[in-house]
Amino acid sequence: MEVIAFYIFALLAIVTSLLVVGQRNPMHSVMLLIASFGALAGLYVLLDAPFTAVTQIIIYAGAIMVLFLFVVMLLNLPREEPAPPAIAGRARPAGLKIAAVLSLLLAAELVWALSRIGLGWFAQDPAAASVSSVTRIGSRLFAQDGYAFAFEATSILILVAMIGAVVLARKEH
Amino acid sequence: MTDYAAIIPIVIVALSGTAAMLAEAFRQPGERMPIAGLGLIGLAGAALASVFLWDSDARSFGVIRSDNFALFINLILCVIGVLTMLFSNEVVEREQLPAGEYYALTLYGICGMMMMAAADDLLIIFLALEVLSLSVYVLTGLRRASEASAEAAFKYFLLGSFSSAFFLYGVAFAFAISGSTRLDQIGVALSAQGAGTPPTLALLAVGLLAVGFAFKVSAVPFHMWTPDAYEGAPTIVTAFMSTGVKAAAFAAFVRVFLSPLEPLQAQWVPILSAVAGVTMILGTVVGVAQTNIKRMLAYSSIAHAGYLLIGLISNSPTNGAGKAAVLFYLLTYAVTNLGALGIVALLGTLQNQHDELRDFAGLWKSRPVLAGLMTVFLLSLGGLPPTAGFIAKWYIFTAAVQEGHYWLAIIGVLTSVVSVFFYLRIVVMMYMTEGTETPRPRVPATAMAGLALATAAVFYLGVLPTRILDLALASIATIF
Amino acid sequence: MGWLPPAPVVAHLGLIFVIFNMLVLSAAFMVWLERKVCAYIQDRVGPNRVGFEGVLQPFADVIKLMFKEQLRPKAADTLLFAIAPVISAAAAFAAFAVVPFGTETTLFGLLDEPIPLQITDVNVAVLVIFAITSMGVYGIVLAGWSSNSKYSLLGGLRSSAQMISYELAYGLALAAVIMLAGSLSLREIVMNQAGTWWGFIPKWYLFLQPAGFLIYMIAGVAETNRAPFDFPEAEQELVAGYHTEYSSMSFALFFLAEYVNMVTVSAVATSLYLGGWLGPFLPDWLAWVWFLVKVFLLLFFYVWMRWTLPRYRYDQLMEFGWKWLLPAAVINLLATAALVLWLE
Repeated sequence: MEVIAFYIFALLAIVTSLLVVGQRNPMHSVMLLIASFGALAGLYVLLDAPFTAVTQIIIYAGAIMVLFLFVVMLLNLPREEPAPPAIAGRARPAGLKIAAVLSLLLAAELVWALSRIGLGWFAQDPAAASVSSVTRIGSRLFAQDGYAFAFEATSILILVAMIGAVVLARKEH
Repeated sequence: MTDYAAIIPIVIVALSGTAAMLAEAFRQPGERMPIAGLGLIGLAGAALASVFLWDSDARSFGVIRSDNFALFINLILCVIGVLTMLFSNEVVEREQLPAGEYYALTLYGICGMMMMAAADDLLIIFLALEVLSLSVYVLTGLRRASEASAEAAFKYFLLGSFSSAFFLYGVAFAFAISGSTRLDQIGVALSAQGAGTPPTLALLAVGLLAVGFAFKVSAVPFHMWTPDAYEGAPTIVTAFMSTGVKAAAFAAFVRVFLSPLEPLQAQWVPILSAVAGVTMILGTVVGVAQTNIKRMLAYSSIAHAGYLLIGLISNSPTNGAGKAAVLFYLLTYAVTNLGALGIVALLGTLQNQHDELRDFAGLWKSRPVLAGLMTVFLLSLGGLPPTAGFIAKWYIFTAAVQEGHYWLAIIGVLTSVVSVFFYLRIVVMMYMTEGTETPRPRVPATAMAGLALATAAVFYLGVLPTRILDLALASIATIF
Repeated sequence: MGWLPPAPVVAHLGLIFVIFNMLVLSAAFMVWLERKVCAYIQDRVGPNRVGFEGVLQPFADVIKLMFKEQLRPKAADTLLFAIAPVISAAAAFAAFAVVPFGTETTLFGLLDEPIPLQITDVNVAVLVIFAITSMGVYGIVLAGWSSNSKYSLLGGLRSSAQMISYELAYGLALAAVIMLAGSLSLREIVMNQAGTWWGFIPKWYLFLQPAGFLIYMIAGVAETNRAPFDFPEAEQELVAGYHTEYSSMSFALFFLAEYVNMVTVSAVATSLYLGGWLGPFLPDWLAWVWFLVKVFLLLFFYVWMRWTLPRYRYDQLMEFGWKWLLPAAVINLLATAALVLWLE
């Protein structure tokens, strides 16, 4: 049962992610990205991490993507022009080559890393299941490890970013 | 229960930043408000708190450490902040910068700098780096009407983001070695590996962290943003960021590289030596060709980063001279450079920045006092006695010689000599050239007080350096 | 009967089926209730032709809608135009999945293990509701954008800006209850409200969180785009807002979503503040009746408010949301936190 759900979500995540890149219409890309985040959240649920899943939805699919959507919508980005057909004898754009090399590199790296650590590393750790508990996350985040300070420092960081955005973007009087 | 003592200076500055922001929010349009005063109160409070915390070695949350090293940097930052506030009052109004935001961002920037100096955890260092960087990026672009300002901010932001990513990558590798971002635990993990070739991960971590820091202190080859950012930013911001960012970044640089990464000294010393040499040479040689004062001081700032790097390199457990020299140099550079750029800022108007070399022609006639003070600061930057710059360089080069880095010391002395040439060019311009009769703006009393303070500091550090040097030596010992 | 899935699974599927249909029917009921109440408030009779007192009127409406032509503006984005109402409706239904509405039951001994009257009891239920609410924005934004009509776009922008703004206060009100209950599971939150003070005041969080309840309800009304915050339907300015260009069943889906959202907001309010299914007199297996009564009262309040209060102006709405409701929610949260710490 869980295996079937896993394959459904995994397939969904991969297909939607691929389609995000393939779309010419930026709105469709945004929606597919949201779907991809949703599928990821599904995978988190299967990993017994409902809190992570919900956070994924609230923050990524709910908050960040709404901003994306608004930007795309309000800028009214036009449909991307299809690339000019490759003329025989002329080189393909450099970006494409770099992207191809980088993705090959990434794939090779992944295979190498997986072969090094072996699949046994993914075996389920019974202790890991309890990490999903909100209480544990909360006490780790705020009571131990000094993350409380990092948390507060981040709030200053965000405040600075906000002031910056307002002061740079507002209309001159 | 956590001990909150160590974060008190940081919190005070953050609160004064918030107060500045709120003051602006409640300001009626057209109403004048002494927001700089709020900043001064906050900085004074932070300085006071730092003095009271001296020798306490308090820790908060396990990640913020107020050892004497951090407190010394705190005091340097308070000096920088106070001088900036004193100069700002008039300048902000004249250049029509948004006052509330300017002061809030400056204070938050100082807050981030203090955090960076006191952080005992790579994650916090990164956060602090971002806090100070973001505020400085925005401050750089604060002159909305100016294209140069926007360009400077954008360049600085893009390249800065890159360097932050490098730094973060370095943090990730450091975490991979030790399973922690705490500096002490990284140190333990690295020394546990013993002698011999260190693992690749450790080298990657060192390299990437060095790139991140080198960018922030504008060392070659990561200096490209410096001239543009310094020239495009409002001059007062240039003064603030050239001193503050450098102090904070060097504080973290020293703490990270001399404490947890110390076992890898054999690996990073040669690289940083090369960087230091190239930085000094490039900063000086290109600086000679500049005709814009801000740009010239930007290259001088690059060169100074090179001298500071010598101090960082010339260290051994038995020899404290280099370490103390870094702190002393930072303080010296702070008061000197702030004074010099402060004068440039005070002479600028909205229509005319007055930052070209020829704008300083005949300053001696129209503004003898300012010309005199400017001369003092420039001589100190060049490293001539009896100013602070001379003592600072003296100690740096002595440390280099003691540690056997002869060729670095030689390059340092040679570039210092060359740099005197371009500092003196300004002096010659001020005294010996007839100036055009451009109206010079009024310099308010607060700014004059600030300049007097900076001048006094330059002479005090230059003539009676021992007290401060001993203090620096005592404080840097606490990071180990 | 070996080919049948095990009894708990069947019972669960049955439960899902019942809840789904209950929601659809409640939407129909709400349409009728709304028209009736509106009529009485305006001193009219209201629908009274189809069925007893017009109770079958909504069904007649749906049948009419089904036979209408499905229109689509020429320049609309085909795919998104079709998906938008589905997203709206799906988000509205999905949130109900974690709402408990009764104690556990064995269905009169048919099951060995009792099943709870709830589709699923996740330990982060409150956050799930919050997450799904935030997804509801997409339906509206996309409907507005994909219609390629200025009224739709402006309506969609307004509604989504409104929902995003009020989501903050909504979430902070939820957080205060979570602090009191020490749990994110709605079932546990309800169970924590069992018992009474001095024998007659039920231990509902309503009495510990009066301000929180008020904030939640105001934000809830704004979240569901209902009067007095019903900008999508500000006819004078925006025709019909984001669903201007919709017709037939896709319009019906938006309509359905609106009413189901109201039911969900009321049901969650019942669980969080009004003690869910807990109540006196009734035996455990009938506890869900209390739940329905409480939800009904809240829904009636919704309708009552709509026909009593005039619509806000848009800038007033935003100002109220950001400058009053959000700070109030923050203060409420801080006060609650202080209270919880003090009581510990």
